[in-house]
Amino acid sequence: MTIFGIKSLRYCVRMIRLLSRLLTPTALRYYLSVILVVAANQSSAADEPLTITLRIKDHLFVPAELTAPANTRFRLLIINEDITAEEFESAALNREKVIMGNSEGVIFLGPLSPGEYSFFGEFNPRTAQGRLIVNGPQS
Amino acid sequence: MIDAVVIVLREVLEAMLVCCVLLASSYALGAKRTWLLPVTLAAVGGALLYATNLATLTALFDGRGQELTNVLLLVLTGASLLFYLLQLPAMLHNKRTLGKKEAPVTSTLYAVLIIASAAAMVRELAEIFIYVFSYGIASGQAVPVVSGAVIGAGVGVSLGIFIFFGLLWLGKRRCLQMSALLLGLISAGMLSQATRFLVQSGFLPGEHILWDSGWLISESSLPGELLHALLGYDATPGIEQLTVYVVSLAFAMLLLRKLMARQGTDGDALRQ
Repeated sequence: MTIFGIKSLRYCVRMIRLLSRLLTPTALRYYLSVILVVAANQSSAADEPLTITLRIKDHLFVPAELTAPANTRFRLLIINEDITAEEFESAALNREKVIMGNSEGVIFLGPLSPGEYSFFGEFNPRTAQGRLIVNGPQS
Repeated sequence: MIDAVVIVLREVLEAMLVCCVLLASSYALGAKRTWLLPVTLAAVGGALLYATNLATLTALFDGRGQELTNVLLLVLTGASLLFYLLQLPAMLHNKRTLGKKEAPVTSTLYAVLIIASAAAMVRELAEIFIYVFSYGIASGQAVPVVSGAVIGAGVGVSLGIFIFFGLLWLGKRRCLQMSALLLGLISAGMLSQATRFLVQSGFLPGEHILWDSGWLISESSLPGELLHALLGYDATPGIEQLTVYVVSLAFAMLLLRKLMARQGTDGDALRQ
């Protein structure tokens, strides 16, 4: 069997060499410019402060029903108060994010049209269920 | 336990699909299997790093670290799959000019195979690690979670082996075409998923959701999961996602056509 042969080391070296091309001075300068542009965008994005908080406690979402304004972009801050990890998931909102135990995560949502959007915790799909209710005029 | 089976199965399915199609394609090309060890090491090592540092990672870049890492992994997979498709016609040409004894596969191609499959596996494996250790064992449900995970992984790996042999059963020529088609679809799906993570982390503007086909095929149902892994199916795609999907799929299909044209001129290059 040659599955785990010594040749594989050569491929590893080749792989590292290939990846190292991503770290040439030109590439680094490019990354720096991208980071600067992103940083500039962030300072301008700071003027949308609407943050909605959702907590995970005892494998449940608190509150299980959230409300948000229609046609607005907002941040959803998810705070996991359990020691266990959970994954926030929603097909309707098109989002998924793992939140480790005793930590928090942010996702950006919207602009959404009025309606009801369900979400759930992937690790407790039957019990950890919640809804986001979006109120407001149709755009 | 059923939940554990489903969760682990869907993660394994996504990772296995990329690896098994790549394995079948490289096998039809005459590649050796030496690249499997580096892939395993890189995927398991990467997944352990990802899973153990996820809380720190998430907090980076103003709470966007997790999405950016996912984008990096998805783009790495999608781009290296497209690069692999780009290289295929030249490989066929080499095979013909060098004769049967020489392996036509260059070490660059091996490196691309390693990067594509390892990057595809890291995220899925890490999610399984997190589910089993940070959820299952931490919440004292070790027995149902671990046994469910083992069953799910078993079913996923069996499906992967089934896909691998199914592709080889087509014969080398058709296997290359079919796997190139599948790889094109998968890479388009990966790149559109990367776009979705950029929207989720606020780097791209709020998407205009184009349609909701959740009533027809729910994303969390088994057919939905399969379509998601295979075609990057999304019940509620945004406009950015669809654009990236269409562009990369068109590029992949162009490469597929080139491959088939090359196979046509090298009539018996792969007829066995």
